[in-house]
Amino acid sequence: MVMTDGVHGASLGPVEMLVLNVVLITFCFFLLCRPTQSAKREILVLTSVTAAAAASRILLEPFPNVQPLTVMCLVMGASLGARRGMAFAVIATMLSNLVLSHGLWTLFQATGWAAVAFAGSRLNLVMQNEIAMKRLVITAVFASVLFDWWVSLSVITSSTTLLDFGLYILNGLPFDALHALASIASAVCIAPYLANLLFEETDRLEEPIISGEADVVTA
Amino acid sequence: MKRTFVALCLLCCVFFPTSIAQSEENRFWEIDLNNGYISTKPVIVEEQVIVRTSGFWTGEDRPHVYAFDLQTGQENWRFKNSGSTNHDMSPLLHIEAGSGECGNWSEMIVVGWSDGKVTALDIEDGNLIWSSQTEVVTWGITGEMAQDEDRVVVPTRQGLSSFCLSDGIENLRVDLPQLGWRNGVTVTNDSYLIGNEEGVLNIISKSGNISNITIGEGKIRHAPINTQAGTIIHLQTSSGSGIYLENQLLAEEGSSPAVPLHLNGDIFFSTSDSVIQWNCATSCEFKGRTAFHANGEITVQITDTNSTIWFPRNTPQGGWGYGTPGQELVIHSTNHDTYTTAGVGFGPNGEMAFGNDAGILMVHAVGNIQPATEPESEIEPELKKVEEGFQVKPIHFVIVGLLVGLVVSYSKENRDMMAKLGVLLLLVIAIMVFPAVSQTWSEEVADLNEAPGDWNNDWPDEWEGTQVVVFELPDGEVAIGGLSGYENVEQLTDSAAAQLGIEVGKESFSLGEMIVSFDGHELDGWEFTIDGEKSQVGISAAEVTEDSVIRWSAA
Repeated sequence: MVMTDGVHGASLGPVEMLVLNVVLITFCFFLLCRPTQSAKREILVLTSVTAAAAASRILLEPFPNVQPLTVMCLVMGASLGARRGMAFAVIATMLSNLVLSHGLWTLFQATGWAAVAFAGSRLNLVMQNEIAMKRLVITAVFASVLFDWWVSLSVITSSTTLLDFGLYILNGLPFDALHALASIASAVCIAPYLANLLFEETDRLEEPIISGEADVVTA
Repeated sequence: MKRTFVALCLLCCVFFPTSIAQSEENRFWEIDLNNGYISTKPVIVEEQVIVRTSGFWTGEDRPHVYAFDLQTGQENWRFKNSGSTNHDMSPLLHIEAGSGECGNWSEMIVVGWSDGKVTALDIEDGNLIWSSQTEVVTWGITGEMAQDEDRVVVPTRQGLSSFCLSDGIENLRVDLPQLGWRNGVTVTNDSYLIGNEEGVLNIISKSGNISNITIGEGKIRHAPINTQAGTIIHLQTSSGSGIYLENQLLAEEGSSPAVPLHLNGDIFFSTSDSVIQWNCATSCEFKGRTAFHANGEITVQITDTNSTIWFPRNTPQGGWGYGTPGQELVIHSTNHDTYTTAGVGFGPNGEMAFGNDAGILMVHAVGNIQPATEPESEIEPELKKVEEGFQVKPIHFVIVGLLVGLVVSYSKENRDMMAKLGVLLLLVIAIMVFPAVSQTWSEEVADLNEAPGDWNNDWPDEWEGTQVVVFELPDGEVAIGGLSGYENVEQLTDSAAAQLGIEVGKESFSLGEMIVSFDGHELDGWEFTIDGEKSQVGISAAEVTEDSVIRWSAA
């Protein structure tokens, strides 16, 4: 369960926040700083889509747990690979939490969505620019629920018992269901366009770069 | 194409109001009093509707009694009690002009206040005719008063007093050992009946002699009902409630019993679980029950042909249910539905006045309605004429748009678009119903776990069995107990904080209100437990029992 009414778990002091941000930003930069082709183009593509993903989280904040970011992570992972997909996930989380609020839960959200992107890169969800829709929908549902439960771990304190946590998860099931339904909607409505866009960009990037002239021997 | 057009027309009929023409019979007015809750029923007297507000007051805000023109909604007068700071739950008492042994009196509204005052207000202009003071032990007057010929009989905090209607001089005073709260008084031929917080029914003769019957372990929070079969009490207990005939238990019922209504031998009860009907014309006989959540005042609408019983629904959905226990109730909803305890005020010509915790007075007036021109009061109240019926919201346009898109896609055999629009439609509907589903689910989950309890042995013994609130503030822990009658954490916390002089800061979020500070201390947020257990729902949805301990601590 991602959003609960008044329960956020432990909050971080300024020093802890600084350490967390440095770790995450360093991690993201590492993921980004090894381009295979043009550094500028990759960063531009990733940044544009990431900004849109962060904006969608902020705009949909009034609707509890409606987060297209889950499906976007799956598609990004499937289209661009684990490294870029995970970088996308972490940056989108941090950007959107600048507005929504930062805390210990940011670490769980970032790692959770990074794991989703990694899973997307391994499950053959996108082939060429075609989405395997059925597989994507099923994966999105499972990813949404597992992501919520992973983030729920952020509320655990020293006084939390197994029963307390179990009841917490149980209370969050309606939120999990809504997240899953929103992910299905995102998969059906957004995923094909995103996959197509990413396919065009990566396809262009993978075009061979012609340099020099080829010597042709003529008879 | 034709089929598409016909389908679109049918969809329009589903979602648009069936009639936009205003008919005189359906016109009504409403006014936001901006002055707390409306917890007791408005009173319709001739061409006026009179209502009182209630709440916990800090700063300069205080409760009022208002009088409005029944047809136009124009304010005639208002009366403020600067001394009342707690919830005022004593219903207004209308007294016709008359004369008696102690003098003559004009038509008036008698008001009992939580600061112990009894005030008689002139019904025409709201001027104070007389005022008398009774004792205050945290609370003053909270129960229903009654008229006995030339006097008004008042259930005070720890006794009973009667005052001459002419001049307010006290002509009877009886001190009782037990405290009372929301304990109305019943006038019989030769005595007054009054209950208290210890389940004791006191019978006071008109000369002041006292006898009593112990009904049971619980609290009597209504005017006892005198019937041919005997005295009926709906006793509030720690586990729920019980309906008693004298001290004989007739039935065990749910929690938070409402003020019962006696009508021609039939007695109507309600609790947080159901509405119930018994008949005690000769001996008491059970007549029917319907599942419904109603607390507060049960009222009756009497017409030429029949009588209809109205039950206020004290849930976030609010509104009123009317009908007969044993059959399905019809729900009357308004545009401002929320927790409701006030009964409905009925006029002789079919007029109806509604109020609830939103603090908005809604009146259905019969006859021609002229718009208000220049309000006489200093502060112009917000006056709206709103047509009764279906209220279109933006989300409905989204749903209609998606349905139209679905129909168009179907006609063009565009399966891809149909799938997209269909899923979006499902998502929108899920978002609409989510708050209700989530709350119901959380309540069910909460029942799975027994709270560990949170009693401190250093607290006074008299707090045991009452509602207690603890605030773990940065400069020390403060606690208050002996509270009772509150339904949820928000109400209980507001009351406790007001009595301790703690300022409460709140913010509104999509899922409800949240307390963000106490006395300006925001820290990293605030959490609460109920009997040692963290709640999974917000402050307005978290229900409390009669002996709950609420603890507020920094997150």
